[in-house]
Amino acid sequence: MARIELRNIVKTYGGFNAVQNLDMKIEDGELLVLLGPSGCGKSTTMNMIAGLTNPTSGQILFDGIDVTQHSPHERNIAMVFQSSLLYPHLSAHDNIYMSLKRSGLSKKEIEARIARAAETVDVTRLLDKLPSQLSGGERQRIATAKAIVREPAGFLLDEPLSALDAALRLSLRAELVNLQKRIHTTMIFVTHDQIEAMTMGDRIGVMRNGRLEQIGTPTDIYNRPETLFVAGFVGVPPMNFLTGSLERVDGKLWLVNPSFKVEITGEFSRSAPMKEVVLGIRPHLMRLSEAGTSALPLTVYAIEQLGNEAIVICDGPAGEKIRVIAPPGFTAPIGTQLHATFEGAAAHLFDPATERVIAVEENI
Amino acid sequence: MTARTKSIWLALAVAVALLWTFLPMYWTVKYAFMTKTEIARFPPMLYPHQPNLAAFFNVFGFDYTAYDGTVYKASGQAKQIILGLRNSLVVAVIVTAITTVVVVPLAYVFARLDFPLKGKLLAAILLSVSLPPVSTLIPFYTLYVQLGLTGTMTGLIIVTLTITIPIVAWMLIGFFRNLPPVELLARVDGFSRLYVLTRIIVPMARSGIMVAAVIAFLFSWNEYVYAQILVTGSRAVTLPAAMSGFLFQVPEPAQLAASLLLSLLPPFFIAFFLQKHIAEMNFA
Repeated sequence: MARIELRNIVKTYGGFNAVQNLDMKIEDGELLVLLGPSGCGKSTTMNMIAGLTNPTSGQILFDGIDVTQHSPHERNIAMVFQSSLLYPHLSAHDNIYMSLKRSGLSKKEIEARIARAAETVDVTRLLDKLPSQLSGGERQRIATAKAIVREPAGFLLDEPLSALDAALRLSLRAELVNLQKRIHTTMIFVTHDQIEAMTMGDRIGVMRNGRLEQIGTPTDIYNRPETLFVAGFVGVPPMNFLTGSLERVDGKLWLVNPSFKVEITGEFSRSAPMKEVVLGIRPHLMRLSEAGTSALPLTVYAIEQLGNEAIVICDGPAGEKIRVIAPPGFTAPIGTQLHATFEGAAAHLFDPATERVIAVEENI
Repeated sequence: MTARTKSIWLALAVAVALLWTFLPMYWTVKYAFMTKTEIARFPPMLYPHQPNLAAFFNVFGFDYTAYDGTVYKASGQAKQIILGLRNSLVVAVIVTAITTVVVVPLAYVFARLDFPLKGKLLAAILLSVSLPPVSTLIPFYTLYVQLGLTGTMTGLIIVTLTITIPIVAWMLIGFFRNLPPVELLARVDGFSRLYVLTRIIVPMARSGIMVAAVIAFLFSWNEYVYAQILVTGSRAVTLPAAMSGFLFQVPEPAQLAASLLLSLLPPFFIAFFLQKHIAEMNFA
C-alpha cells in the first residue's frame, strides 16, 4: 500500500506527445480510475506508474520516495493486464507462484501466501488448472490472486474486464471493488468504459490527448464537468449540447439562439454575456412540454424503451441530436414535432474556444 | 448447395488430393517389391503379384535368392547407399541442432523487440529465403574448392545452414509474434530477458520450435542440389546424392525404388509422431 504521486510527467514518442505535464496524487488505499478514449494516454500513464515505460521527464514517487528509475519489480507493484494475461503454459498455482519466485521468501511462506491469496478470491479449487481450461471470469480471478499475493505497493489494472461478456463484467466489477476495500490497497484501474469508471472509482481521472482533463469523485465529474469533453464523455445517455449567445436583459441572463431562448439561473447566472457559448443539459433534466418561447422545438428521430423510462432521440433546430427522457411507454411516430424545456439552473455553460466551463464572476 | 451435395464435393476434392499425392508414391513403392521383368511388363501390373524383398537386400549389399532359385546380386551402389544413409542422418541432425539453437533467439529478437534497421535486416533474411539454391551454387563451389571444403560434411552442413536458418527463422518469427505479451508479466515478476526467453518463451513455444526443427531436418534430409555438386562420390556423400548414382548405371528400378522408400521413412515417422504439434501451429 502506498501513496503514489506523479510530478509533471511527460512522455513523448518521436514527435508524438503521449502524456503532457501530468500531475496526479493517488492516496493510500484509494481506487483511482483513469478514464478516456483509446489513445488518450491512460495506458501509457499506467505503464509509467508500473515502471514498464520510462517517462521522458518528470518524477514518480511512492510514499514520497522517488522511484522513477526503479524497475516494476523494485517498485513492488502488481498488474493485471488486458484480458487477464497469464503464462499460458503454467498452471494457475504456478502463475501465482511466479509473482513470488524472485521475492526471496521461503518455500513455506510462499505456499502459505498462495493459499491465502487463492482463498481471498475463492480460486483454491482451480489452482491445478491451465489458463486454457479456465473461463474468462476464472482467469480474471487468478490474475487478481497473482497480483495480491505479492502484497503490492500499488495494484494496477489495465482494462482487465474489456474482453468479458456484459453480465460477467457487472459481477466482477463489484467483486474487484469489494476486494479493494477489504484488503485496503491502492488501486489504479484503466478503462474506456465510463460506466465502469463511475461505478468503481473513489475518484476518476478523465484523460484526453495526453492531458488530464479533470480529476474528482464520480459525483463531481458528473455534476460539475470542467470541460466540454468530460461533459460529453461521462453520463448515459450523453449530455445534450446547444449553441447560442449569452445576453443580459433587465438584469437577467438569457441563452438565445434563433429557435429558442431560456433564462439562465443558478450559479451560471453570474456569467458575463458572451457572443458564442455552448450550453450543456443532461437528458434527465429535460422534459417534453407545450410549444413556447422557452421551449426547444424538436423532431423525433428514434425512441429507445428502457422499461423504467424512454429515451426520445430528436433532431434539434440546428441538426444536433437531442435526447430527452420521457415516461416509460412514451411513443410518437418518427418525424413528430415535439417541444422540450428545462430549468435554467440545471444547465452547464462552456466556452467553445477553450472548451472549458465558463468562468463565473464573483459579483456583478 | 445442400449439406449432402456439399459433402459429396468435399469427398471428391479429398479423393483427388489423396490420389495426386499418393499415386506417384505408390507407383514407386510397388517397384521396390517387384523384379526387373515384372516391372518391364506391359500393360503394367497394378500391384506386385509375388512381392519380394530382393531390392532391399541388394541395396544393403547382400545377394538374395528367390524361391525359384534366381539369385539377385548385391547392388554395386550399396556402399554409397549405406554411407549416404549414415551421412544424411549425421548432417541432418547437426543441421537441425545448429539451426534450432541459432534461430530461436534470432526469431525471438525479430518478433518481440524493436531495434534500429529491424525492417531492413528482416527483408535481408526473407530475400535469402527467396533465392534459388542454383544461383549460389557456383560461387559456393569455387569458394569451397579454395577452402578445401568440397567432399566434406562440414562444408555440406555450412551450405545447408544457409538454407535452413532463413526459412526456419521466417516461420518462427510469425509464430513468436502470435504469442501473448508475457514479457510484461515477466517484467512485473522481476525476470531477466534471458530468463524470459529460455524459461518462459521456449516452453510456451515448444510445439512451434519442434515443428521448426522438423522443417530444418527435412530440408537437410532432402537437400540434393548442393550435395550432388559438393559431395557426390566422396566419403561425405548423402543419401539423395548416393541414390542419384542409380541413374548412371545399368537400370535397377527396383533398387532405386527401395532406396527411395528408405529415404522416405525418417520424415514419415517424424511427421507421424509430431502431428499433434503441427496441428497446434495453426498454419491455416
